[in-house]
Amino acid sequence: MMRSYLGLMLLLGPAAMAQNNDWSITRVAGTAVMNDVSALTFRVANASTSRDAIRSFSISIPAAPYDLDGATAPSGWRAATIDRKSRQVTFLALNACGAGAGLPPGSSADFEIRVVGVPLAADAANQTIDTKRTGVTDPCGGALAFRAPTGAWTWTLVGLQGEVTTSLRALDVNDQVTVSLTVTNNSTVAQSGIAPAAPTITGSAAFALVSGPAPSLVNGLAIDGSATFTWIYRATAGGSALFNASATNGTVSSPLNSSLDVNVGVFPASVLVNPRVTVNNGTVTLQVLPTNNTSTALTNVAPMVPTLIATGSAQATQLTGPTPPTVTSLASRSTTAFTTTWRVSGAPGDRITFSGRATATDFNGATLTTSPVSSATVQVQELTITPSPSVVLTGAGATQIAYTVANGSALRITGLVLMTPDATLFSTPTAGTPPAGWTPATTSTRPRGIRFDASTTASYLQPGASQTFIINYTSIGVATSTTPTTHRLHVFYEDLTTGRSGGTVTVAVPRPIPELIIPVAVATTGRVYFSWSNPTLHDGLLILRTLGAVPNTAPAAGRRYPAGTTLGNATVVYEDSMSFATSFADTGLTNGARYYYRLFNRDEYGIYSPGNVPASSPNNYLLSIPPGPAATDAYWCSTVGLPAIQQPFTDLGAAVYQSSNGSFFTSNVITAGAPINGNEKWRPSLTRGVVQARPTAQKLGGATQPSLFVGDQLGYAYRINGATGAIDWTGNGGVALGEVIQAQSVVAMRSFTSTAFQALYPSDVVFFATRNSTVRSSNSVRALRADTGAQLFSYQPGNLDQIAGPPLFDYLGSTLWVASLSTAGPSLRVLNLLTPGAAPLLTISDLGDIPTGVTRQGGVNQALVVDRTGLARGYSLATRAQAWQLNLGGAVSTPLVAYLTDFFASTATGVQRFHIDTVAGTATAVWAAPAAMRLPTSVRIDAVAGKLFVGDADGYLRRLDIATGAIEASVLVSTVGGISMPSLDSTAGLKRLYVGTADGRLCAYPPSF
Amino acid sequence: MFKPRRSPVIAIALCLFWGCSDTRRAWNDSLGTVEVVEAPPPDALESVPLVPLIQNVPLEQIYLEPPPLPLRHVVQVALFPAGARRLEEVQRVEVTVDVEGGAYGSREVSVVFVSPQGLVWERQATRIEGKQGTTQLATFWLPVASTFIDQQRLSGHWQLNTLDQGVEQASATFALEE
Repeated sequence: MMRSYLGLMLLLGPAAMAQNNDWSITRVAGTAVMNDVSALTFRVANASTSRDAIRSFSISIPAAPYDLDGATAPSGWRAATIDRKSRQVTFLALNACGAGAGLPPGSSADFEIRVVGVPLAADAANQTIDTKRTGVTDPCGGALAFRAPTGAWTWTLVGLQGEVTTSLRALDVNDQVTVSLTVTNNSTVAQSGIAPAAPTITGSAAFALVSGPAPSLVNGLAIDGSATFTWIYRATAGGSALFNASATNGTVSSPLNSSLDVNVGVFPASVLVNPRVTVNNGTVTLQVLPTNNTSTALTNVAPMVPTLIATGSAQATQLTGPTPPTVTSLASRSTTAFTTTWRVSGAPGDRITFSGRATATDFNGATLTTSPVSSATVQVQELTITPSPSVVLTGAGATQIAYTVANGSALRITGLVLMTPDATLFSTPTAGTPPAGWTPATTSTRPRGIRFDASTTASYLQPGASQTFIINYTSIGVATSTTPTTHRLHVFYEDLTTGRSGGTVTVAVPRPIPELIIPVAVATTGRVYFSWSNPTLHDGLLILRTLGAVPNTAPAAGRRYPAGTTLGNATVVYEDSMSFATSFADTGLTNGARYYYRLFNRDEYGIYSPGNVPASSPNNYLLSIPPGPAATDAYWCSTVGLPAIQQPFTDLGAAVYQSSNGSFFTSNVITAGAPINGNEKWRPSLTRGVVQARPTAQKLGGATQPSLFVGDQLGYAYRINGATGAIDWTGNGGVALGEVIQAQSVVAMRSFTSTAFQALYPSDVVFFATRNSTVRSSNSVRALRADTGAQLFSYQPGNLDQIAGPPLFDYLGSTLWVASLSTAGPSLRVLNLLTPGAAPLLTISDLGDIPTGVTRQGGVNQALVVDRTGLARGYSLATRAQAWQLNLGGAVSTPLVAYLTDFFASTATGVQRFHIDTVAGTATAVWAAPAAMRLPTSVRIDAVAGKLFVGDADGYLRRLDIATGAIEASVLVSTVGGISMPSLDSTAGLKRLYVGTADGRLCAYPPSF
Repeated sequence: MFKPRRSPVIAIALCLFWGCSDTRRAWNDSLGTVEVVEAPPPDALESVPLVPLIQNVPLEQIYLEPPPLPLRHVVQVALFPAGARRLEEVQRVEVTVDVEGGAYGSREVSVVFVSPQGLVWERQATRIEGKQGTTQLATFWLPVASTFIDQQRLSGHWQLNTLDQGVEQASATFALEE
């Protein structure tokens, strides 16, 4: 250096020496990893006091222990020469002699070179550039008197390659994520005592450590061997963050590697890109995956145009997508994907990162937007190697991997070496049959691996072409946690130069995979239509079908089963990957046949969920029976797989709503015909507990869609939006009203109430009642605002027993009639809603248990109740005086049903009709000999046709003559268990009965069966 | 097109500064592609002595935090109130699951109730926190009296299965009487 500087001074004379042209070079990023292509970034700053610009920069690395791989220039510059032989890169400013080109005094720019460190036995610190051959200048006639560089340019060559991954990239606060650091020993000796440092977390999201690291120490890590350390963290605050981790044993270490973004919140997203390396003008697929962590469905979910972050000259041009453009509804706790494809161009080493976002509308109509989330970085390379499969299962037997090599350079490839990967995980590699025109493989020692050579010049791998090479491994070793491994490629070009690349094969360890979310199957003639939601941990799914028996074989981890293949006694009818599809139609089915379906979620490593949906054995399947065209056949049946024996609610001519024991609430579309008849209106609404209370539906405030009020068996009250399925509110500020809500709720529509009521209550009111069992006397009746769910008052007198049947709201009297069990106190009370804090208007103590609630008999203006023994009573709504009583002849477990001046009662053995004589003060049987049935439900009346419809415990739907009680027709709906009380839609052209079944179906039948 | 003004003086200075090499530079083609001077194949470059390619060193992984113990569910079932047996008397079936071992961290433990008809009646789930050396408790309630179980007269032998992360672990039975 001194020689060069003195030479300059002599040549340029005193004037030049007077100029104060200084510059500095500082390494600002990067660590060199042995045997791996590593990027080092140097900041060159012009510290001159003159006006001389730096228009050229050359940098050299020492002859050993480095190879030079490539370089990337900053904006306004280009890598003019990459001299791999002398390990020198010369960067030149664009339009170098033009005005403003280069680095004027006071400015700086970052230059990247990529090096490959030769393996050593230990880390080597203070690695330096070749300062004698590193310098800056102005080749355009400016002064050349730049002094020797100053700065801190050294780096460390490390022996461990590291990679940080996370089990999830989109999660909610309190969710947990597994963070993994995989280190590979790239040094020349086995290493022991390797321990990880605690990960650091950078970004806005916050996490708390739950456990880890596991293991805490690794000994005997062989050359090229890999080991993975894991930690479990719980998200404690929303935002995005990176996990940064490294490991060392004091001799070798890994760089501080970072994970991809982990996004935390109620509407987080992740962004996937595949592949991560591409040749110039290659195509990559980008997926933006938003997750709905709210408790209700989100609507109008759509991706935003991604932001591109490029280095060098990298560019990306969108080719297709997004597919789909939008998603109408995204169920709670589920994920969807928007896919685009892009053409990526650039010089070798150029990189590009996509930053994606998505938007959605919540149930309040507010717009939600995810944080911007970055994808992995896509790098342009002259060479790519794509292993297939890219995932193998830990401990797998003999495994064949096909490596596809793509030549994106301008030179032909004459031969290549597939370098030996981690020998403890990939045992005894041997070459498969070489491609046509290539000689049988040979063993290569430098680099170590299997070498293939083209037989003739005609079979050279041409620029722009690709070729596949097979390697067979005798077995896959056992990994303790999922481990990504690098499979390296070394190629020889026709001009005797070389190139390098690498691909990842992940050794996957099985992990718990969540099931698909609430799959629903709708059977229509010859067809079953499936819909489901996908959890975040998802890559694809598998649907198996059998006829007459349950699928008996689960898929094996790591295997794919194309549609049409056989698995045990089942046929694969649907299979996908890299897909967030949410529906599928299985067609060509035989009407009347009993098809059993099992569904399995699968992650990106090929690990399947247990397939225990909707529940575990014996109900880990969906049963679908495509109906035929006969008069006794259903129009359709929708299957959720868990008992659905509550009476459905029908929004006439529009939709049918049903609760089930699955802790969710469903909706099905009513139309005149196929193909969407019976399909879901919206994805099921999740409730916290089982809902056995029939929904109370009202179109509030002139709305066209109903609001559905339900309570669950964990004591929570809800208002469900009939238009979207969103949970509008969970009542009482989200606090349970009691241990269980079993009774149907009652709504007081304010516009129909008295002036006094309206003066007291500012909104429609919905009444819920509890079924507490720990302290029976602690039950209550709660009045909630129908618009907000806020509690207006609670009636909890301390002697109110369980309430299992619906109360009755009397508009004229502004009273609420409440029937309860009798262990803790009186079982019939009439509350004056105009004085909610006062004592009840009526309290009767000697009625015994009344489990079926209170029925309004509008024809005689009475309230009807019946106790557990079958003793029925009528009370005047006006005077609250008892009008009559009658022993019905047997226990009654379902509510009475009023008709004209009569009522129907369903006892354990049949349905009876009784007439109320208000003058005589009596009730008397109308039918002399009711038809026998076992545990019939309450009846549904078709007054126009003069028919009754009723379900029973033997699974029959029966039609009775309303005048005689005779059974006119019966149809067997369920062979196992009972069916629900039917609902009737009398809409012209759509007249149908809807019944739920104990085996988890909701079916639509013609009333004329 | 950029044309450098390379005077003899400057050229000599460049040689003095960096030392003249055989490296070719393409400075007169500022918008052209990168000129790459390639190295020969690695056989001629790798100067580091080779070490034995395969070392039979067993991999040993040490856990300061011991690996989780094998997973085990111990199930207890009780009818409430004590002594109640009949459908209209049993207020609830109380199920407690002692969860021993299993993976650390948050896990879903669920119970599936199977009715005497052989159909799954319902599934309940909760989350536990798997921790080293501790047994976690998961509790469930199945309401009976005045529910559909009572209304449908589902007396007889019930079965329940417990699951951990969706995988079946244990089962138990109980009886409800008419």
